[in-house]
Amino acid sequence: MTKTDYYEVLGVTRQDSEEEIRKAFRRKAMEYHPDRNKEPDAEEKFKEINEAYQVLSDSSKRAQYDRFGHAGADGGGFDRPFDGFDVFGGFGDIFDSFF
Amino acid sequence: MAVPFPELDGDALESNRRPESPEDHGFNEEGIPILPDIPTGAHHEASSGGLFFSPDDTESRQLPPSPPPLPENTGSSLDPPEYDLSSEEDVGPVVGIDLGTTFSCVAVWEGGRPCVIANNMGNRTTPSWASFHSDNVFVGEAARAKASRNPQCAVYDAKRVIGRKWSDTSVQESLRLWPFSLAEHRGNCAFQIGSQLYTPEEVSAYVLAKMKHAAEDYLGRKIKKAVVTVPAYFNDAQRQATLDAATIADLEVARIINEPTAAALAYGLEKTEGDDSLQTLLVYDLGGGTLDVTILVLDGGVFEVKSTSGDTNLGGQDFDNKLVEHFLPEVKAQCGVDITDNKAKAMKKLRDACQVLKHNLSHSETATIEVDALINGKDFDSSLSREKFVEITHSLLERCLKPVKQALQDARMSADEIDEAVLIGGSTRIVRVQQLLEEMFPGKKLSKKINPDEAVAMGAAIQGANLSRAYETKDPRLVGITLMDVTPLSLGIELASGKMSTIIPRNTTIPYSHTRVYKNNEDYQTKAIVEVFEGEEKYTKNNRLLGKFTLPGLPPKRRGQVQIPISFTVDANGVLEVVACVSGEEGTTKRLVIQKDKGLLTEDDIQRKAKILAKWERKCRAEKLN
Repeated sequence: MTKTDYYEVLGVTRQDSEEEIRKAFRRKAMEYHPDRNKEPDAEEKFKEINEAYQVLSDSSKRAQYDRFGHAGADGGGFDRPFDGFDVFGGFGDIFDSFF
Repeated sequence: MAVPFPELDGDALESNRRPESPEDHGFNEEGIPILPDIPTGAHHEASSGGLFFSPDDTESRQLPPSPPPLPENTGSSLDPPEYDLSSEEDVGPVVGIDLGTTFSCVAVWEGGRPCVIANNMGNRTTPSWASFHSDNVFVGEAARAKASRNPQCAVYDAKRVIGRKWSDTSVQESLRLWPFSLAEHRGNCAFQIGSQLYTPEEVSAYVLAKMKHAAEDYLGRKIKKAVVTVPAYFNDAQRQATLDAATIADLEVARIINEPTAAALAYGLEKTEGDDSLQTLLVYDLGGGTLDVTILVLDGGVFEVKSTSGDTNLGGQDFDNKLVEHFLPEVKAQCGVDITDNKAKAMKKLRDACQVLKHNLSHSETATIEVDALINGKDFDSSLSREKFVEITHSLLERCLKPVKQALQDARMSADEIDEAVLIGGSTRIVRVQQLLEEMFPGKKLSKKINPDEAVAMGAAIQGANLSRAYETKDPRLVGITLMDVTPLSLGIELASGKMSTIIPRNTTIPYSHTRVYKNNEDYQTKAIVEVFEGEEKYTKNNRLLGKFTLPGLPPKRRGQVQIPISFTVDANGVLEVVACVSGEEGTTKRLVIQKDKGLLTEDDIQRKAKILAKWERKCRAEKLN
């Protein structure tokens, strides 16, 4: 399973400003919010849009994503040495993902 | 693109549903339901009832309609037939109910706008009081009227104890000042009247039923569904308990929405017409028992909440308490009796007089307090200036701006980016509170455009109408209105170190889902215990446990070698689902489903209490009581 590029999800480009990302998110949100869209996959679609927005609307998370892609954003990549963490949780989490 | 982990199947139960029968799934020895193993990569099939959930596969998934929050709520807002207007005759409109600490209000969408419904006394808000007697239960004005004679039988403030533990400091601190008795009931709070215990859910259910009656009388039809509001900062237990109260009152909750968001809806509906400019609002909601602050952006019809903060234990009642405490020594001096000493009637009289005094200080520099025959036939009178009032309530006023600062910080905004501050809740009439906000937002107008007592119910009615109609048949004023709320508290799990690992940070727009991968802490560990918490503290022991489960079947590997992805999903109702998976040997995936900790009431309790309440409703109708 490949994950769709966050910029693609929102229909924006890497050069677009925060303002344009915000606008794109609201436009998409209007379309897919489960209160408005009763299609069975609307909620999932909304979550996907929302996830992209949560990352791209935060400048530091966006920078991480631009550098590392989804691996940077999800912290789930099996090819990473410390795959038990989410980079957004801060690096302290690298050694703190055990339970 | 890297694949974070093999396709994993998770299946989540709606967290606030009652436990399913053991036949549905297997149970392990600890009584935790285990779903059958599913080969990795097998094609997903939606399980009946549960939300199908696989954390890393967002595209190809088929979602069955979300199950209702409670089994009784058959025909949730997502149920297709409901959108058929022809069936509306049976369902009735979805009313909006603001279940307040001191007052409640009901509204319905009618004639293209939200209308507040007056109760049988002609009042647009109803006291959130219930008075329990051997032959009947009185609610609203009737209950408050009974309180002068039988103060121990009349209870209020259910919202301040609902979903709270008995040991909660805020409960313990308020005990002394309530004229009624509270007792511990299974670790939680219950009102004690004689030898009978009434849970806060029950008391709230009577209030909800009363609001339902008012709407039924007005509309001339049965009401089955409502949008009920809660303070934005209510935690999960408090929300769950509120849902239970609605179930007891035989109301299906179409949606629980946050009070400030509801108020913003009411405000924004007027605003958005012909005005498509982007606006940032700060809703300041200081009610009878809670303070909520919400920052949201209005863009066309989209209401996007940016952040929310609050204090679930700060409201008009606390100001009353301070006044009562202030006057107690004076009462003792004038009347020669300590009225805190089991003199419930006198305490009630003094409290009522303090409330009147507080109200008068909103329009006068000084106000008097006069109580005829307070105790032993002796009168009490005194006065207070605004200045003195500010001094007495200093510690409360200090807390009034904290959530504002927090909300601004969380929204990454400064005070001057707020276009308008909207005041909601009766306690925003306190002059000093308004001054504090004016100082916080210099040069900005504080908007008092909407009725602070009714805005929340009106917003709930708007959302009710919004949820009850098909998009195509919606009122033109509702088309385009979309509410996007946030999670008020951070959600996460406990790590081996005792630290909280946040998976969904507070103020994340919902619905949302996120997965993080964790690792085994010990060599050859065979199971992992997943404990789910909400709160902002670094260590979980200072946060609130929502529930826990054990994930068995870890493959025997050294420390850090087992990947355990944990997914958190919050739906539009703010309901959390947690799914943990482990990739076993031979490429199998163990799925395990948990439910969150239940409220204080069991399914049986709710059913039994609902029956009592239904009987009471029939009696009230037949004998024209309440």
